[in-house]
Amino acid sequence: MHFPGCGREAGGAPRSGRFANALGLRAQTGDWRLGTGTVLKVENLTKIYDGGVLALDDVSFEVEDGEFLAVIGLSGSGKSTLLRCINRLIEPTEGRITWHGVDVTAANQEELRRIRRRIGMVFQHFNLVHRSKVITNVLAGRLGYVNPALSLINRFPPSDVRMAKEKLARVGLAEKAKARADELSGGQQQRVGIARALMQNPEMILADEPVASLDPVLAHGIMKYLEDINASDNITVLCSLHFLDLVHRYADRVIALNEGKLVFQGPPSAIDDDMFKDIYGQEAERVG
Amino acid sequence: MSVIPPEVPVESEATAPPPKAKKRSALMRLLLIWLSIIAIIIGYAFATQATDVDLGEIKDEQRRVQLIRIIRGLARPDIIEFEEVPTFHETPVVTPCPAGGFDAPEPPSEGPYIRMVPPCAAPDTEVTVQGFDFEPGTTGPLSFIPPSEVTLKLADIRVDRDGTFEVVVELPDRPDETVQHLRVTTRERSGSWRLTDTTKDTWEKIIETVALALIATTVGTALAIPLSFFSARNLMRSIRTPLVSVGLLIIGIPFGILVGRQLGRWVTDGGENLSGNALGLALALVAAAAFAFFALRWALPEEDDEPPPRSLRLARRAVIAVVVVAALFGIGFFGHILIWFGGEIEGPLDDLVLPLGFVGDFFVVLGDLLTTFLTAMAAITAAGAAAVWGSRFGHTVRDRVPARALQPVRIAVAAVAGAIIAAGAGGAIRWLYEVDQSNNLMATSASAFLLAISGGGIALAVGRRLVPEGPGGTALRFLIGVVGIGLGFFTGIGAGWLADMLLEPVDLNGTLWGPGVVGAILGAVAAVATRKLDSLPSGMATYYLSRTVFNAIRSVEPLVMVIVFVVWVGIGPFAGSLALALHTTAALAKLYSEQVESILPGPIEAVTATGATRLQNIVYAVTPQIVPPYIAFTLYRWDINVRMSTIIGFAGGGGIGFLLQQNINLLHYREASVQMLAIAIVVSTLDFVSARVRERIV
Repeated sequence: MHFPGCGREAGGAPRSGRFANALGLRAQTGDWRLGTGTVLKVENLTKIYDGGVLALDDVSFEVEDGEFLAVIGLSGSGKSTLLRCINRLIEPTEGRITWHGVDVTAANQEELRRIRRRIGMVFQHFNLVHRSKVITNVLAGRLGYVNPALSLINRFPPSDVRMAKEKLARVGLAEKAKARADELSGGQQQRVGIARALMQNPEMILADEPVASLDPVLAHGIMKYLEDINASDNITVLCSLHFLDLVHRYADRVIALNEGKLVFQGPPSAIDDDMFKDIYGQEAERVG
Repeated sequence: MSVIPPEVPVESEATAPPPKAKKRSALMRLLLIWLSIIAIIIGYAFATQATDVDLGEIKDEQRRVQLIRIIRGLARPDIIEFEEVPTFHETPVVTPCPAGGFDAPEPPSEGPYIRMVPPCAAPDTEVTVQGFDFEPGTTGPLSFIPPSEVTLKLADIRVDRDGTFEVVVELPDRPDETVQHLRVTTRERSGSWRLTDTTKDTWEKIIETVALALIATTVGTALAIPLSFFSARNLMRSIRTPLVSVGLLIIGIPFGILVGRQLGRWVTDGGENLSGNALGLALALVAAAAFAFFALRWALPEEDDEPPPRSLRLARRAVIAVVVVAALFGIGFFGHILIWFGGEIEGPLDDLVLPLGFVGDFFVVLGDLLTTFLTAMAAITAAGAAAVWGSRFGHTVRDRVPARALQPVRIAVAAVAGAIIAAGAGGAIRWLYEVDQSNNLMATSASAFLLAISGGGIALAVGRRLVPEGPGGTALRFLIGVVGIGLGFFTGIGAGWLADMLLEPVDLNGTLWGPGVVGAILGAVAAVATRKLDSLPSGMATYYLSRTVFNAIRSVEPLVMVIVFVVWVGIGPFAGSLALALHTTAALAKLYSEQVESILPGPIEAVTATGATRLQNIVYAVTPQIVPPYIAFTLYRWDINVRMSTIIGFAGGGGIGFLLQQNINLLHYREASVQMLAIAIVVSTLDFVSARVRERIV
């Protein structure tokens, strides 16, 4: 499937080591293999919430450059927590996350901002600012790049405004730029969310249940956008999903969580009935 | 299919409710019910006694008469009046009766007339006075007119529906042989109506009232909006700061104040020198603005893809600092220009068809405001900048300084910060309670001694960490300890000096060594105690602090506040607007912050994920969500302020309340009625308008 305006963005994706230098960050050395295709490495990640709830329990995995990785598991199995730990929207309790050789867990605020701006995020509930215009919502994706002082008075460089229009056109919403975000339907709102993530020139997109609030027809529409971004822009996608059929259809690889533990990783085809019961519990029935 | 986000920890279901206590017996329950009924009755009986409920007062005849008088007065507001001409109706009176008797004169063929029955009587006897053919409902005085024409009022008459009246009066003790007169004066309306003076005064004061509310609401809103973010739990909860940052922030504030105050004084002096020279002022202003514009263009590039080198960043910061100074000068010049401009246009504007001189006055006040508060603004800006810089630097220190050396740094910074806080608090206490500490030398040496000891202790601890064991090591450690003692000693002197410098205008006649040293020790202890947990919940601390302050201010009614302000700035609407503005700030900050707390967290999360700063997050994710409630609350508060400003005059705060209180105290109920009416009209009009505006916007 092809979309207008597709193709690699200029300067869209500097790769591993060079990227770390561009960040001005202290790249980790050691057994970390730079440039071998692994972009994200999660080691022994554990998250315990203040109430004592163990959301992630010693999770370790790696993400290859350009792959479409699905995260599956029941509600409450830790999928959202995992995705949010990667860009530290949630502070991990223990463990290490290394991204392009940069230790995310040890980054300070300024470094973290520079990391976050290269990781786009798409949310289950879209998380648009309802009362703002669509174009403003999309432009918000540039906030990590633009000058903080000028952005406070709502001034974006003309190149960013052009870029926002391009991205909106890419998700088929060019004519909605001036509409208020809450005037859009659910599917349209999620496309705005994707455009916002694309504004970040992301290396990777974290998609947290991007289609769980949409009906199945719309779900495929949104997933196809993600697939296209993954395939034609070579952006790594980490996507948590509910439905196994979506996983089979779109994902290159799957990791599965159950009560915060990593119970499976491998290709979608490797999920047989036994594996399914391990992931979803003994009483679960396959629906997809 | 919706999913519960797992970041909301689900309550554990394991905790079952504890088994209920044994059921009470029926008799026990009945007893309990009766006991509570009795308790309730006793409670209300006490309340009734405490509030002096006395139905006898309600039935009292005399009080009823007074009440009726007030109600009737209020029912006839003194809004308009007519021009009236008095008409005299007279009848001759002879007292005492002459020997031959006295015949009453013939009544006139038409028009109203009065007569006395009997036509003559002895002094001090009762007679009946009757009137005929009057306009029904007419009222007026009945007077006795002796030959001297000095009227002696006997009674008020009121004409019945059939045009007659009849009163029984006692003739005064004024025997005379000549004919005297009884006179009824009636007043007839002539010409058109006109507004009474009361109405005019009321109009003037109600305008003042509305203006007072406007100023108070504007100032209060402007202050409350930024403050409200500090007392919003959802924004503040995630803010945690390393101890070093907090310490450097606290150290930065007094230095910032010192620098800013000095700057502000220079600017003020520069402006004074130029004031009167309008051209020079304007040129200086344009130059400052142009410089600021171009400098900012350079220092704030629109986008940076790569982190700029350190030298460039430093240069940019320096330029921004210079721009801030230039802006200060610009504000000062602008203030002087406003004063000059306002003074110039005041005369010509007053000569216009409408006297608009007050517009010129407004500019003068604005300019005055700018120049008066310039020093304060400069001090606050510099303090803020120093605090931000200190906090940032603290983060850097935390991240860059090796772990071994961090602890001594933390202790030192915390000690100095503690000393500053305690010295400040000590200064405040001394100033408030006028403590005069005459024995300075003692305090100085004691505190320097204490600080030296603690400094030495810290230094020895540092030495043990940094220097390895060995023969040379012991000597080195000893040396470090001595240095520490010296440093502690001079820190003590330095903290005292700084505190004295800061409080120099207060003239404390004493030093602040004692509190400074106690603070330093407490700070060091805090640093040691928080070693394990280096990120302090500074956000929640700010939250609780600001909440407490807002609640304290809010709990004092503006009517009480105005009493203090009246002492400060004198009786009048200025005192009232200050009191209302203060209360509005606190009340709105609370209301606003609760709105911030109720916004959707999703957009904040999304904007954070793009790499936005906290400030950008507030502008892009928070602000759009809070605009409607903020407008609604501002209108609501404006409504409250108008109502408050109607009574703030009771305490001397200007506005219509002053008139109202005066008239009530003088028992001028008709006049008071006009003011009450005006208040009612204004309040309900505003209510209507604000409801409409709210509908539109929200």
